[in-house]
Amino acid sequence: MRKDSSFLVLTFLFTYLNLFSQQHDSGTLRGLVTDSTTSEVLAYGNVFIKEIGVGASTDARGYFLIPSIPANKNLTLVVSYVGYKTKTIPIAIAKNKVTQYNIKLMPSSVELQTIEKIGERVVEKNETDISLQRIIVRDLEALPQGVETDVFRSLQYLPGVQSTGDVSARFYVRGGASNQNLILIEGITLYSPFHSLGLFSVIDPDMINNVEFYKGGFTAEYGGRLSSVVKTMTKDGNKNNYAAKASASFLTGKLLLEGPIPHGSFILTGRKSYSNQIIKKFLNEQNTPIDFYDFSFKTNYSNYDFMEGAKFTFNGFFSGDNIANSNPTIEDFKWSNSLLGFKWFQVGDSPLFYELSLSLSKFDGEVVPKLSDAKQSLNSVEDITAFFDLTYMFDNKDEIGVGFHIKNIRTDLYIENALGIQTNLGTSAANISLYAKYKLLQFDFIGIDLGTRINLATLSSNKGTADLEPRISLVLRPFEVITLKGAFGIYQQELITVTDENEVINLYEPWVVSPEYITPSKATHYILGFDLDIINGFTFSVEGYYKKINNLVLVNNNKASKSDDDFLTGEGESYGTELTAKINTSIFNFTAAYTHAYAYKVVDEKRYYPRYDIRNTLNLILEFNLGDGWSTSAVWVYNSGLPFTQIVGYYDKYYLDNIFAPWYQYDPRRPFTMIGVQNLARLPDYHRLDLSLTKKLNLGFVKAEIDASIINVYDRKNIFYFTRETGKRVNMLPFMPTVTFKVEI
Amino acid sequence: MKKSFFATIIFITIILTYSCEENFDPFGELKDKYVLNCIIRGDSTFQTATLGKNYMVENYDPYSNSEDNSIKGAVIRLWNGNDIVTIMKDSTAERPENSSYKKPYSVYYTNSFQPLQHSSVDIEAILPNGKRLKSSADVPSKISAAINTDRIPTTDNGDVELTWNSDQRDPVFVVRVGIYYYKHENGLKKRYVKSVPLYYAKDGNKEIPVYSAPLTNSMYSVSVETITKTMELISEGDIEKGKYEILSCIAEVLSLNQELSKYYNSTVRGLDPYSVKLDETDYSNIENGYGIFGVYMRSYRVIKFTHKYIESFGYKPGLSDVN
Repeated sequence: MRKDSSFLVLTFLFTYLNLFSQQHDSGTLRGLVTDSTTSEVLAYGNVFIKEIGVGASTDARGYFLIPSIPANKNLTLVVSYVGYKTKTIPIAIAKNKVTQYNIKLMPSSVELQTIEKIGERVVEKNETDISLQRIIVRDLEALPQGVETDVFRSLQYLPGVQSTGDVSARFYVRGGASNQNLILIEGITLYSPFHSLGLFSVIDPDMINNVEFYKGGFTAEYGGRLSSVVKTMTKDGNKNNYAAKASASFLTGKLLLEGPIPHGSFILTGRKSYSNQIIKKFLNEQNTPIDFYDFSFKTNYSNYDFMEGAKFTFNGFFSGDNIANSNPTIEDFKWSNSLLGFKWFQVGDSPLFYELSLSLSKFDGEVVPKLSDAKQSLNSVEDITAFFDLTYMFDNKDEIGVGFHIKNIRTDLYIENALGIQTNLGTSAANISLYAKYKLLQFDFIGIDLGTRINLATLSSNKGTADLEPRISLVLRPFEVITLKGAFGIYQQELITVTDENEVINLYEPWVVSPEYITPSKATHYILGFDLDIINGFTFSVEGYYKKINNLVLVNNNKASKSDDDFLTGEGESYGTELTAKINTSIFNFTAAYTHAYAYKVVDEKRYYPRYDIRNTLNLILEFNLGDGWSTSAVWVYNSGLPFTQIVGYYDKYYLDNIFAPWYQYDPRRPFTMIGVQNLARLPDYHRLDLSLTKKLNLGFVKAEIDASIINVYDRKNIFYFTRETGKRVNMLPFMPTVTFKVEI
Repeated sequence: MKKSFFATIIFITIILTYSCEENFDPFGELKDKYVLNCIIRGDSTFQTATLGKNYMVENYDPYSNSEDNSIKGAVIRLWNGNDIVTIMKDSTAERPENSSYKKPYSVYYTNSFQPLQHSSVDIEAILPNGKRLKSSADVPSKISAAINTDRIPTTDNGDVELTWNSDQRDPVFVVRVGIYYYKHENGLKKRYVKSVPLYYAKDGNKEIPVYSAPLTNSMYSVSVETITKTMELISEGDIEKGKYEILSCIAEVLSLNQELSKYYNSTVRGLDPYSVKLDETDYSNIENGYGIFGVYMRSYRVIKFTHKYIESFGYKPGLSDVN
């Protein structure tokens, strides 16, 4: 009944708004902004019509749409993008029609002293983008690269994103665990996004066009996770020329091939590790025989004669990690991701976009015990997803979005605990969901994104599974210089990982569907904030959030018999304030981001701070364009101490490993460390300075780039953890210079 | 602009170099806690318990603690349901050779307590300072083991198989197959037990014994080949094979109760060699303290070696030959 009512309301809303939003003597401008040399789409660029003072930003696909433009008048379109020459085009819009302009921007040459840039937020006054960070590859490359440019490590510089140190690329968003982040490659869920014990992400930055990162309050089209969404859009490949790019770091060798095909293009990227020397630095000089690779491809086809306005893409992503020990008494590990996707994106005659997608995501992880004491463990996830998304934009700029998602998931998890108790948590289920949302954008002073997900079928068979997940984002702009923002949403997660939260380094996180006896985890987000644009080139924003998680699923470490539950539930709570100040000039960019945050978990009526609860975080980023192809950047990161559990004494514990021995022959007691209240104490503060210097060279038809970076310039001894048995202090990364060399043909 | 940028970086570096490492204290306040350990043998009337106290060392090495933490003078009572209360006697015993402490320690014992099947047993320790530690545990069912052969080598040279019955819910079993023998040294003979592993795994030229983890099923088997290898290892490196007098092979199975199973699980849980876990689980069922109160049942079967088999190693038979 409730679901039927929702459909009726949405249908009515759609019809009503469509009828009343018609305007005459005007038309709509639609366009696609691309790089003139490669035809790669340029996401988040600015488009502005000079005479009428309206504009838009390009979306992640490079498209923009400006409705209600006076028809049949001579107008000037100004298109700008960071690192490209601004282009001015005379345009005329047809009455009651959608007029399409495809704009190609030319990259600024590396010799150019300054980077062209205009105020990014001027044209989008009421965009409901609270807690959303849009990142383009150029942003990633400007930061000190360290060993490898890494998307997830770069996210850690954003306010509200925490990490437990240099060693891991795992990130924690606003007090949520790392398994509460939805990682998408071209809309396909990636289940194991890390190489080598979490040191690096599997996503090679060379394959990325742009990233959208929601820290919370994400809108109705996203579901299945409690905390955040990282949506990566990959490059299409060069439509004009064949090109190759090779690069090498201390860790990996990489190759990229791209080029045109009839009515489209292709791109292939591959990366392979060849040395473990640098990994030793991350792992306290421990020699770990890690071997990994990742490979991606994408091809697209867009033929006006075959189907006007249609674009078909077929993409794949594969990654694998292998820890193979030559010693038969040490177990081996291997895990892999395989993603395949097909997408049909259609731009309609009216201001309508729709997308049909079919994808497969597979994750396999295995522990091979060999002759060790390890227990065999097998995990696989097979996710077949089909979705249809439709966006319609009215003449008054309002938008309606609806989507239908079907996700069939099969998980297998075979584990055996130390007592030899075997568990098989395999299951197969489907999530069928609809979403509908309405974006009110017709007034410059207000923007609203109101929607809900409707779960028609759920993965978990628990009766407490939510049917509706309502979401709302709101933007108010009472004055030109201030933007007030707010968001509320309910989020549900039915897929969980079998991970011990006390492990600071682990191999991978096995996934399973939340069992029937556990009500799936549900989070409620409340976000409020404001942006200030007082001076051109200076922005200041503040966001406060509160997140409550019910039925937080945790592994039952005390399972001793088959009838004991594998999981238990607790609660999570987090809140904080994030402040960001940015100065953007033609010569340098400076960003300061400060976060004051609290995170708690309550399990068995015990309240404690999770491992990633950091009270104060300050990130300072300075980027300089020195001209002549030279650029440099500095990043200083400060975190107040991570929580840890203190030693409060020792006692002689009775061990049962020689239970057959008579008491008078063998003393079964050995010292055991007693620990205090979980995570009550704090490690010393963390801070680190990284520097990088990059030189771009044009050597005829060959482009080269040399990047020299120094991690931890002043060799700060940031503690990672200490071993209780010996008191040995394990520090994070030391002073470490690295060099990366890239060649592009 | 370039100069100011580099000057800023150098300034920050100089400032921060002075604070490159901060010390921290990983130790919290030591509060007195007490440890009671008592594992009841279901097939015996002789039971022991130990009582101790926690301690602190400042060098992270708890083995450096030489002060004996066992507690004397406590009253430890055991009872079975509403049955008669048994008070354990306070005594001292010499430390076994492997103990890190050298002085005799306090041990509490009774030789008149045997738990009843399908019942619960309780323990209470009242310390000299008035502190009270308590616990209770369910008694598992008796188990009855059976063996498929009365001799080693088996007549068909097949595996030695031990099976058992248990009506306990979610049982956990621990098995040992041991070769009992005497070694004659300096005119004395001393008894030893050599455990037979599940199998020997090859690692290059070395052979590594692989022992069974606790079991949840009711069957255990070991090959004659593995027993033969273990027999050889009894006198490895010793040319005087005649010093060894072989008695028999005993296959034992213990059935752990729920509390003991959980405790065992918490003590043997292992990590892979790469994961780093910070907070270790410390299971205890002792109210107001640490330690374990558990019960196990035991069943065993004796399998004789044929004299011909024993003598093939150069050893002496210690028991009569198999008929």
